[in-house]
Amino acid sequence: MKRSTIQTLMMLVLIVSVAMVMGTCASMKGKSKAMIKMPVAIKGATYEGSNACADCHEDLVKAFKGTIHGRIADYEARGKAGCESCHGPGSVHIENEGDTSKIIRFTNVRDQGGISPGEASAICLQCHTDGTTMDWRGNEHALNDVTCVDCHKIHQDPAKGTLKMAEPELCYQCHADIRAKENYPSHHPVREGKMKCSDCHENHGSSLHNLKTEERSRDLCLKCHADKQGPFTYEHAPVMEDCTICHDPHGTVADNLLKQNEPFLCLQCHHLHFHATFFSPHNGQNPITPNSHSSQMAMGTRCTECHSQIHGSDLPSLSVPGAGKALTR
Amino acid sequence: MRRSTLILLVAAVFICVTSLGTAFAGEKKSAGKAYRLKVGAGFYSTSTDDNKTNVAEYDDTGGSPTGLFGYTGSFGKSFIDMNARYTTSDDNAGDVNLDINRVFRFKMDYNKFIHRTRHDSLFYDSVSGHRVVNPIFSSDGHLEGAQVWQYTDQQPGKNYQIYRQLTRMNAKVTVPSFPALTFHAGWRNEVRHGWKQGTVMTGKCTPCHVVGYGNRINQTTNDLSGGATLKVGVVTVDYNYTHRKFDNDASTQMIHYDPVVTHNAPRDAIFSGRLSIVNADGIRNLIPDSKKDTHVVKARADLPGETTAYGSFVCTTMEDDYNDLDVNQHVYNLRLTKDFMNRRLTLSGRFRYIDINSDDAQVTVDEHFASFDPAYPASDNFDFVRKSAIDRNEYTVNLDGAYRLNRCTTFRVGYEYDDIDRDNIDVTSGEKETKTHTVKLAVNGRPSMKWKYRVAYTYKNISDPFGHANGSCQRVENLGIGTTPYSNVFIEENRLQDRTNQPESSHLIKLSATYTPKTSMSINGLFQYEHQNNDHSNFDADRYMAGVNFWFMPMKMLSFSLGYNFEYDRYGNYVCTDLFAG
Repeated sequence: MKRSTIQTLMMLVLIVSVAMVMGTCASMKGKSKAMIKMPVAIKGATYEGSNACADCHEDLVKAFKGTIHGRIADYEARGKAGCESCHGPGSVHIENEGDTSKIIRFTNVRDQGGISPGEASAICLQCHTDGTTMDWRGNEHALNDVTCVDCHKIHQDPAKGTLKMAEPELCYQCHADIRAKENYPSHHPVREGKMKCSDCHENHGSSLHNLKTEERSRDLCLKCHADKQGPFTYEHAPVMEDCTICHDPHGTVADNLLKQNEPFLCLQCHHLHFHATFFSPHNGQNPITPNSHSSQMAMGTRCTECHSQIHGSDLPSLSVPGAGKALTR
Repeated sequence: MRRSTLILLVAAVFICVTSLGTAFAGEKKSAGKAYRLKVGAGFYSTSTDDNKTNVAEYDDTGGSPTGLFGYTGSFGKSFIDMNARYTTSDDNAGDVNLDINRVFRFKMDYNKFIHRTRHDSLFYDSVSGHRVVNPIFSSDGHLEGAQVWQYTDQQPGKNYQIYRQLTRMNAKVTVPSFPALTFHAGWRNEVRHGWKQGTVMTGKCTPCHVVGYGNRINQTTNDLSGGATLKVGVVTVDYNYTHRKFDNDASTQMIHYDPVVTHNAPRDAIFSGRLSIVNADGIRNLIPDSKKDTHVVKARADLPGETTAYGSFVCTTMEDDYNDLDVNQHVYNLRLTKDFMNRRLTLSGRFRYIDINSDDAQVTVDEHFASFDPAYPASDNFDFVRKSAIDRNEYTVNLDGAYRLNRCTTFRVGYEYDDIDRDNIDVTSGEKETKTHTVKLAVNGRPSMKWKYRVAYTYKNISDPFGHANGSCQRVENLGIGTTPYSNVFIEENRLQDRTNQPESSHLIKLSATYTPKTSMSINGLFQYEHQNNDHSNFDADRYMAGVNFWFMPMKMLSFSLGYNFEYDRYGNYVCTDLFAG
């Protein structure tokens, strides 16, 4: 067994062991399983059950039962499943004939008297500690006071999922600059509906600036563009460094999502080829007469016409003195 | 757009919309059960009067009957949702969401579409078949020969397109008697087949000859993953293993490399010696099969005092099946987040460490220079050990904060330090390490339910950013033509300038304001300005972006967006043409 595999397994065992010990200790101390502070429940309120809510909110409860939150099993919820798992105990709300100030609401987040975005998120996070929401706390959306109900709508048609509206329109409500870039000539097929923002972005937070990877940004690109993974014998260093040195994934004017057209992009790091003369047929000149426009036409087009294997290659280029590094094969 | 095309397009849209609107929809409920069925039909048609790659890059042109299908059913705690869209045989999609009593959960989605790629017509030299060499002067200074650049497009007028097909499945199993543990498995299959234009240089110097050809694309990427999630008290741990296999099933393609043509036998011998393939067939455009194995362990703990700790460890091995080279990558992440002052202040600290090691490649170059070659004596040897540009150690430290002044206003502050220490390549002369400081400041405001705004500023200071060390500008005094072999002169070490498109300092300002008179309508105005400069490499850039966007959703499943955006990009850099860099 490789040494790296052994190290990996040891790390795995260590992390799981630490987690088990921590969890067991926390449970043994009798503390609440929900460590994240909830909004203050209504004083003196007790749980009445979702059937009590249905007396006044019949349509809402009926529709809710078909949603994923309405179907969760008791063992999946912290405390009781149903309306009160999010809205808090409802007895005082019922006793006061539906006084909306006696129940936790999500339609008045940020309003005076309402719960804060952090408190709204905390209610969801008491259950959503795994999957994509594991790294919610401290991520860009959370730090900018975006809360779960800004994007999700819990009481809605189960066929629509829980998002208020479909991607990318939902994301464009705040990220209008990205909508503009997506309309540039070269773009990923987001506006055509073949891709979504969440194919690349982890909206609930990740270790790398809300990208859907725990590794490096180029590892995210290589998920779909695996033909550029290599590792190749002949490398192009910026490809190993970061794809965004040359590309802008949201949209560009230049082709192939390049930040600039060739050859200008390449000439920022490389020098221009020199050749003494080139023949230009457009001038109708003698074939041995030098003409500077020929060099311009030959060398001022696309570098990748010759250097076609720009992402790397296992085959050497033709030049022996160049040791095959030119990425032309 | 032609009038007939516009009329046809409007008619097609009208038919599709009315068909969808009048689609048969059935709904039935009985005790403990409910289902909804949706079926739609229409006709799809698109025509273009411009290059399809430009105007229909991802669209199937032509006409076809179309269909929509949707079924949603719930049976107690079980649920199924299925959707399918058929536009054309090359453009269709579907998804399934199945939940059986919360014990077995299954999701699948499928997507197929066209991607049209560029056909470069290449510069056409009308004097075909006439090949000469680099300028050769007679002893009395007369020009005897000159270079001719040639292009040959082997498939003129061909439309290149790739058909992409993506299928993703994910399943989860939770045993009710032990709900703390959930097993999950996934499969991702991506197929790309079609044609893409390739270009190859079949001759170097004698002649300069670029050939365009069709490159057969037949690639499959399969990701198989499996793992488990364990929740114990306040701790959640997740493990996932993914095996990725990329297969290129297109047969190896060959091309004939040109003979050397100088009309002079000694010169023929000189140039032939400098090329690895002369007047012979050789493989072109090899895309190797590859593999990737990834182990990911993630853990989260909600601790007392409104503190959350999150950590992850990633172990990856990537392998190229053609050259048997490996890359091993380890990534460690740790984040600690805590709220203070009754949640008015949030602080989050993150540490990230990356360690990457790649195999070296021993490259043996087959030399056979002519003994009388003045530039490259027979004794020259170009073998080398390719050390990878990916080898590195990188660590990143973040400190982020958000302070809620009141319910309407939040201040956001962030600082990040990133240090990349590369093992094998210089990014500026004599320097392999890049250090980046990033400072972020932002204000998010919601003065009312209908208004929100954001003002953000980001500053980056980068020492030795990634670039091409000694990238250009040949040292002239070392030229020594005729006395010093070319191989000792025209090398990177004799170039003076470091080149890059990465800044040493960067300022970015973003302003955005949105007015939402009602939930179905919004108007947004935005402005961005970014300035970058790198004095060491003579690079600078300015970018302005401004726009107004209007969005309106009058009813479900119908929305309009209208916007005007302007972006101005300017890049400044030196362009250097060396005396000789053939």
